[in-house]
Amino acid sequence: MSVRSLFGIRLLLPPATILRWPKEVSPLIFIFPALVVYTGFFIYPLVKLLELSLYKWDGILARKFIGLRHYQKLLGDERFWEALSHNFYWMIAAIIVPVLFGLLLAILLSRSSMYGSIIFRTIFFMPQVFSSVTVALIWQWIYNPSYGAINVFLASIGLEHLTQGWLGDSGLVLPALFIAWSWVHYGFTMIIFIAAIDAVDEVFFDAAKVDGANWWQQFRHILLPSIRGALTTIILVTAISSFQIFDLVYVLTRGGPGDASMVVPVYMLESAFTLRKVGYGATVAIAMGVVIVGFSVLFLALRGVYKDED
Amino acid sequence: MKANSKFMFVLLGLLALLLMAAPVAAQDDVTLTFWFEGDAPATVELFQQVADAFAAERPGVAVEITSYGFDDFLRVMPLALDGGEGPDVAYVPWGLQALGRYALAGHAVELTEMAEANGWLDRYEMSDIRLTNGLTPDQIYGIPFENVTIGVFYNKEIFADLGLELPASLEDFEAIMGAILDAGITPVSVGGRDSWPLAHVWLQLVHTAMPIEVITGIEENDPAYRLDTPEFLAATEKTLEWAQAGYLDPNMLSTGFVDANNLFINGDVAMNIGGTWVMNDFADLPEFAVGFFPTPQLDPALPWHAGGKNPYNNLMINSATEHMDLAIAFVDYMLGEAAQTAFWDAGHITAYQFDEMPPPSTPLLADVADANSYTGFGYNIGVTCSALNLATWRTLQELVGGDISPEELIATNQQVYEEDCLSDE
Repeated sequence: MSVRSLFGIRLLLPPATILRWPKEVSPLIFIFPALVVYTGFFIYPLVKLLELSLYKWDGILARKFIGLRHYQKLLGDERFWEALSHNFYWMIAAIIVPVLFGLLLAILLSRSSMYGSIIFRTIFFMPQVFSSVTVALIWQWIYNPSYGAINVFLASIGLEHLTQGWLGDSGLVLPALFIAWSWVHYGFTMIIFIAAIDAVDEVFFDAAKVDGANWWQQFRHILLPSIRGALTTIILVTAISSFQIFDLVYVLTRGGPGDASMVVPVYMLESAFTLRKVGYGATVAIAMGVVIVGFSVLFLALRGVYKDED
Repeated sequence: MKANSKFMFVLLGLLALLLMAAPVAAQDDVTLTFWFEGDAPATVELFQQVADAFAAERPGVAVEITSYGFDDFLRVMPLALDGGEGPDVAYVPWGLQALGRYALAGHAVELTEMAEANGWLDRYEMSDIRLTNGLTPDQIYGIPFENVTIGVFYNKEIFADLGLELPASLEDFEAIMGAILDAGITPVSVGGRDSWPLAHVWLQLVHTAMPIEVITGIEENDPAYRLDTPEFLAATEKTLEWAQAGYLDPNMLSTGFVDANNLFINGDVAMNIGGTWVMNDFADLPEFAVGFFPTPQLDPALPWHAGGKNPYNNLMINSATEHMDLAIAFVDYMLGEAAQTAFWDAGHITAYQFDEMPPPSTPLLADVADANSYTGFGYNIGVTCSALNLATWRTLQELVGGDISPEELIATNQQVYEEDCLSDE
């Protein structure tokens, strides 16, 4: 036995030889605590979710086993597919708008000698620190048909005929919500791009300039390949978060008018809790999970293919 | 070192004393928990006042109240009950959306004998309120004590300025809305972004287009009744007609419930079709006098029941309560004259049978009480079937947004009624 001290407390420990585990066992011991947490907070709920999807249950009366009937119903559920199509619309727009805007701002704030770039970085990143409900309330005010900033501004410059009920028009509501979401999200993409761009060695740009490369050639052949890792991460995170969009839609429109802005997470909540179809809500959640995992795997696989080509 | 030891000894001694004292104190005190649906500050304050008055009469008793908005309540309460938790007493929405379901699951104490023994039902005039909450007629699981009325709140100043009289028929009402529109004022504010306020406009027309038996039958999920009848179509067409004529706020789909109320409170619109749960705000906040009248009948041959007097929430006792006697005493107190006087004074339309009716606390409450004196109970379609509620809200938004026709709306509602309300699947 040996004696050691921890925070002044004397510990009696077994001989060091006893603590020597076989090489193969050691990693298992180290990952065990994390595995317990992961199992308890992810694997177990996931299994329960799968189990719930096989039952008809209103959350309070007895459950009834119905096998795969919820999955069968989901395939023919027009509202689910419409909601999913809105999520795909959102994802495509999200991969383009806030990513490009964030990249543009990052280039401007990192590569130019703009005075006060730190202040601008802070200002542009600011929406990212607001809670999503705060953001929703800000945009609820901006879009208000009576006293909202947009309609008041349009009326003040003589464009009263362009004033709208922005969240009440089934053709405008989804773009209106997306703009509100982008207002927050570009701050995230900008900050990741800035970190990636700052990590690129200036020597490459200097060498390119000496070789006569213009700004586009510098961007295409130096900057873009150098930040490809960050770009991949941003696209993946943005795509996943666009499938998970919930709070902004829930606070501003709850999926309305009609189902014009319905997205899968709101539909899941409506099914599981408002309509008390807990099993069906679980099925929708699983379907959404499958779509997100499927997209992620596909995207990463595609990226791997491109990498091999390099 | 010695001083340190003494200090530690004293400290541990004090800690031990505290630990021993805590259970002794707890044994003397009982905290009754009470949850209710309704998160308006005035409502919370009122329930707190009543709970405090109950506790003040019982030394060692405290009542801890918790308020929830409608949606949150319907989500949180089943989860709490299912987990063997939840409040001792709750004031819950009626029908199978809440109380009826809790009763079926065994979470609500049957109050039938208790109600008789304590004379709870004799204190109220709501003999035709279905206390059964979707169960058999002989079983009582919840006691309602107040009702709500949906109707038309109007700006008396605008009416006086335009020389308008209260309507005696739907034609009168439409003429009034037309005159207000001609004067450059939006006639009716509707919080259609939140969808359910728009449904109230439609429900007013539905309820005035068909006999009460139809409404009651649909509420009870009776397959003999349908939602795609000519009466439903007429009510739906009238809703669309009002929207297209500009009688309803053209921006209603982007205006929330609170904003629609504020438009009325600020005097920007002349009327608001809504429930009496906003009565206190409408009585206190505007700088003009507000009046109330029931929505005129779409079918004038029918007796007045439009929006009528709808039973509001029910008091229930959680079957898992550890303070059953205290819970019964609390329900008894809530149903007693002192508490009911507080409710009446705060603008709630209690159905308590006072020996001498206290005077209405506001002129608006007097208007509502007057309307209630000649209208019957009206009930509310969708109370027992959330799927029908949501479908109606959704399709009404699509209707006034020009995305579907009245025929499509009633067809969708009938389909949802059959698939979700009538079917067990």
